[in-house]
Amino acid sequence: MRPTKVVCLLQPAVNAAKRYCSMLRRAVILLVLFILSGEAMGQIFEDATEATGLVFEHFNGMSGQLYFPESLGGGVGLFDFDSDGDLDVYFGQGHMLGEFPVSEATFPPKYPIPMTDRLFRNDLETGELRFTDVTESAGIKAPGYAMGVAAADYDNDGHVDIYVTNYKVNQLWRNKGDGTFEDATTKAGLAEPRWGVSAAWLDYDRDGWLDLFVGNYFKHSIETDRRVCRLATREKDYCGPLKGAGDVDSLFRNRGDGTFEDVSEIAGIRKARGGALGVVTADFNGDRWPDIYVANDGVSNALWINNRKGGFTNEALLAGVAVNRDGMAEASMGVDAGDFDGDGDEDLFMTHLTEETNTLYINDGQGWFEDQTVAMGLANPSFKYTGFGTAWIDYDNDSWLDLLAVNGAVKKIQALVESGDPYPIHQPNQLFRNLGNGRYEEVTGRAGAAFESSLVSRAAAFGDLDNDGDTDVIIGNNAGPAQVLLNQVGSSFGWVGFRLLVADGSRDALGARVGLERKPTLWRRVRADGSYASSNDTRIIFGLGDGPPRTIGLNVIWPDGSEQRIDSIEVGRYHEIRQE
Amino acid sequence: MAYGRMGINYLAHQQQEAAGACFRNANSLDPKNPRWPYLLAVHYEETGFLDNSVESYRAALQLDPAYLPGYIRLGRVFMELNRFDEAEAAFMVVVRADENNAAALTGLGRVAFQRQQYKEAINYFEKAMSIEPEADVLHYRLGMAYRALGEAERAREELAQAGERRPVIVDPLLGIVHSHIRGAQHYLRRAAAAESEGDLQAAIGFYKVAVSVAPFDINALLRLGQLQAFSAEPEQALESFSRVLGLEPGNAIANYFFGTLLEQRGEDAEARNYYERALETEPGLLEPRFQLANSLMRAGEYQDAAGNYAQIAQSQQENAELIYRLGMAWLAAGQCEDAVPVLLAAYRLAQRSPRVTTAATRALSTCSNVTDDQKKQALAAAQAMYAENPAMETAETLAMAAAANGKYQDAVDFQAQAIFEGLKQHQQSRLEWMQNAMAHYRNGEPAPRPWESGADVYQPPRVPPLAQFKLMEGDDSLRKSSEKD
Repeated sequence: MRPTKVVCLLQPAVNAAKRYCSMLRRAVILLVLFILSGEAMGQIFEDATEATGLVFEHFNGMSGQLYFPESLGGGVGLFDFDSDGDLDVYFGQGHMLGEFPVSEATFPPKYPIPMTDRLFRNDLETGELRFTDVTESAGIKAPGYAMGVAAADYDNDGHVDIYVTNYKVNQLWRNKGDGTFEDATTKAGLAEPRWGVSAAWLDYDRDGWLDLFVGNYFKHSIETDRRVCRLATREKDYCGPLKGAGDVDSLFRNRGDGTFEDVSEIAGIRKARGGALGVVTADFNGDRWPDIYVANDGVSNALWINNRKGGFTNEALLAGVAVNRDGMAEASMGVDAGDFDGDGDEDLFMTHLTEETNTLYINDGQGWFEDQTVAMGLANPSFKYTGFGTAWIDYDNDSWLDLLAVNGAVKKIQALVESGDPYPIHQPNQLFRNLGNGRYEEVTGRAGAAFESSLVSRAAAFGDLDNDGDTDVIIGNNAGPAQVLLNQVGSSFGWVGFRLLVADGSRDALGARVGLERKPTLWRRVRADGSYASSNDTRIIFGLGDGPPRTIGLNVIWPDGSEQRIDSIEVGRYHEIRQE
Repeated sequence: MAYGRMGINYLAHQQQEAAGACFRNANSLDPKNPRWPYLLAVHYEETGFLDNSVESYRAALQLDPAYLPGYIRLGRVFMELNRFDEAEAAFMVVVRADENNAAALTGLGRVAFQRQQYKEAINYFEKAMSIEPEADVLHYRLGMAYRALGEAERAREELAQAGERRPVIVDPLLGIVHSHIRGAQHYLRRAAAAESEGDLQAAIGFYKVAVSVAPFDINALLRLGQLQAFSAEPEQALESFSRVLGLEPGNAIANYFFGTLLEQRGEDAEARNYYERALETEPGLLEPRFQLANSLMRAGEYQDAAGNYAQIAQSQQENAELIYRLGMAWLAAGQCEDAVPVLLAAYRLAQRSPRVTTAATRALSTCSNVTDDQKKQALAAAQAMYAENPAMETAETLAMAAAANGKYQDAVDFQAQAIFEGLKQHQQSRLEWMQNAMAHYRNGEPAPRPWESGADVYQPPRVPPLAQFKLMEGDDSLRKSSEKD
């Protein structure tokens, strides 16, 4: 038995109605909590996959060959493609690798061949959170071996476009605004042939047009990679990345005419070679210019500090975020930036390989960080897991950023091998609550039934699927079903949400920072990037805890560095704020 | 010590769960040996159970306070736990004993760094660096310390030289573990050697390590299972055979042994399923079919049992036990005409066996397709058995043979003797059958059947624990029915 969720589906037009809805929601939740058993009371997320009709099964084409790329895909994007005020979902799909026919797939595909990525429309306006597969009617024909998704309106036409990273050539889908997309990859000059995984849109040169950073993983070809790797027990296993084969990343400047210029060399991005799996953009050194952090697999991570002249310098080593506190490079996968400690700057959290622990770096405000994973209580719980998608979310809307990490190994797990598991790399996911005192506690045990399952989780996209004022999650599982996890607790507390738009209102003001007047000031930023191979809700939600004020003030730092103050914002609802 | 050795092997191959269990056992059996808590601590450290690791390191150091590498490892674990005072104390023990220990000096530098005593940290790191310049991770630590002091350029210089080599801890105990990193073949060879020396427990230990290193080695798992069964470890044997069946469900040997182990537990019906699976894979196998037939006899399925015995009897005509069982199956099924020649063949093979002689005698005395000469031979045999051992069974057989030869008064007398012996032996369950036979004799009729329906003689005993059998040799341990006994 799970708690009933009372959902105020759409933004109430009348404030009183909204307040009533909030009161009713809280009353019902309290009643349910009172009635239910202790175990059921612990449900933080409800698995609503079936109830919402969001049925997607990732296919990785595995056929027993253990190709390196097959365990890494599973990207998810959350964005409002039809501009109806709710989040739609895009899933990256795989296909067979090598010369093997689909009949030899370990897990048969659930879709007709050739398979494509899939787009699901959120029909929340009908009064119920339901998704409809609109892939074909939207004109999506994306048969590449997909890795990740990055969504943003690159042409400032008011419609969110999609960039899909693939094992081979990436694809750009331009949203035509009529519910359909066109393949604009070649025209835009974004046919990046490298093995991209995570990508991020940012206006690094402040010209008003979103540029694109693509994190590229490794130089790899299944035709030439003849390695056979084995467990200590001699069982054939997946190979890890080739040493020294980490690829360079790419930066594309938006010319504003629908085309992009590859500025990777001149911007300095090519001065480092990595093995990128996670990318997050934020102003890490407080100079109001967007920087880029790249989580690399097994080699030093990169922190590209924007030099405000169209270039970047990798300051990761001196900044203390290239390696862990012992000076060791780690196998970084997913990453997120956020002000978890409420001191006004962007800290970093990233997921790692089994036996490495996830890592939390605290920003000193100037862009210098310290690895404080142990002190935050995050080292031990992650020791036995390989983390991928992750984000700082305030799941309980108590104003403190909590952490969700989805897991799945990349090397076979001996115990699962011995039990005859056909895909022996699955692991359960984890949720950590920010105690507000500088430490986290693992609350996976009461996070919900979905956290008891064990899948090969990769992407995790975060956003308010049902527009009720808290953060929900969609998890992309490699060679498995996607999961919709609806937050059951956040909306029962105070909150206020924002969508920040650039001055002409055409698109989200990615990179804008909002400081909400609380003690301490709560800072959040507009972003779609972060996590792993995912694109997140660009809206900001501030949790206000118990007894929130009726109105609140805020400061916005826009991507061009300008500031704007807004007073008397009503809480308990979303607001659109346009740059003045 | 055996647990400890196994634990070392497991730890060497990163079989952490098994390693932990072994070291815990070793520790409880050999509590004064610091090696076991020490290696247990390493296991805990490597699996992220840092609090347990601290306890175990401390226990080891209590037993051997002079073992300096233990303090360094303990100090490092304290650092992971942010317990800096305790870490400092551990590192200081080492530095007091060996002021040039780079690993301990690095540890003290880390403690100073965490306390924001950056100059002191630099001193420690630089001293460690001068002792062990190849430990290039120290450049990273120096870089971070200089950064904290605001000396960014100096920090950059150090960071540019940073690598990932840590100061070496000279640790003989852990060296033992590293020296045990070997392949499965090594352990298989050692298992075979131990087996040939008769040290089955050692062999089992080596096979366990071998299959932990190579969990898909079916032959090793089969052998391990057999040795476990032979060593009266039926549950462990079932687990080993179960692993084989997980890998190869039709494996005939595993199915057969699994069936025998179930049969020993009294689970006859389930055991038959496994014998049948073994025979599905290899229909010509002797042992599974024989045990299947025996099991069918116990279940009262005499006709099916006889069919299975008959299948293997073709190639096993000198196997007295098998021929006897086939004859008894026919008798039990009421097919005397088939039973008589088979039991006579069994008698030829085992003339000194009272069991076989009794069966042949009774068959000749009760079946219809018997000549008068054969009946006389039966009487002579019965008289000889009675003379040698006047008991209930021999008296009853003699009564039966006498009646078959028309000597009903003799039959009545010997049957009365049999009933008297039965009463003395409290064989109440047989009395009704014997009194019924007596009635036949008094009426001048021969015995209707050699034994009553469901008699114990029709119930072959369950397969005994393998410990009572000779251990079968090699991997191909089951015989095909085409092979001669």
